[in-house]
Amino acid sequence: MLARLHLDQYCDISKVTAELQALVSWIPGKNFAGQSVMIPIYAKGAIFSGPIALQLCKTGQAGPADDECAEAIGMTSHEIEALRIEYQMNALGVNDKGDRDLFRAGVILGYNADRTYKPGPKWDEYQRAKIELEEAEL
Amino acid sequence: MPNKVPSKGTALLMEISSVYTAFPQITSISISGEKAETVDTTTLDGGAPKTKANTGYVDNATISGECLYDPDDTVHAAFITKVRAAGVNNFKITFADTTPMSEIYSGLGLGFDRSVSPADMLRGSFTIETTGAVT
Repeated sequence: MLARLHLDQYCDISKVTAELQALVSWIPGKNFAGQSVMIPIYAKGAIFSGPIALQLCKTGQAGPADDECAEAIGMTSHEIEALRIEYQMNALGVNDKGDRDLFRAGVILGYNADRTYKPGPKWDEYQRAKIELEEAEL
Repeated sequence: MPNKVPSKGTALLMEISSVYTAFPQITSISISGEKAETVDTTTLDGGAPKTKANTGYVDNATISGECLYDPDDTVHAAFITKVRAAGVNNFKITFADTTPMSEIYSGLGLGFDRSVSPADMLRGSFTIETTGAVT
């Protein structure tokens, strides 16, 4: 049973089993004191096998990468995609209801460091529609 | 220079099978109680102002918060399983689009309360006591 990770996920290196060791990547980051350190992650696209594959699919962190996993999760591709988007919002801290609607619609991709919106593929379309609506109301 | 940082984009991650997994539908998070412990060192022959000293120990933080509870959600169910297993589990807090952080809290004494009210959604409130150093 195989599942492919949808996005980079932090890894708890103290809990990594021998089988998962090969999937661990390291990225530059900082510790609580602000010092530069390398941080373990499972990178987007990493393939997990066994029971953890099913677990990652159920949370929305991964999608099935073989028929066995797809059958075990028992969801349609539409449901899997909806779960992926839900999880992505949770991981990005997009908790506001209005912002979640914008995220689902592809208007935003999350927040910048100053918490302004990261424009998504539908950002310009949304802005144009807002202007048109404002003009129509005047 | 310090920045004014809004709450948006904050997430609580729980370790499940070595993967830090975002806790869903959170409405608030609080990390409180981290404090250097002190002892009263006032003596009878001292002056009017009382004196204190650090003991050298630090009270650990407690992470708490609220969420919209979904009994079918895999992560909510996993958290409740961890509550009932009474073990130690690692947690992370992440903020929007910042440098990746290695800050890890070792959590224990987990708790999860659920509330049901006709005029409200199903809600849950969680507490995570922490132990040892933040690493």
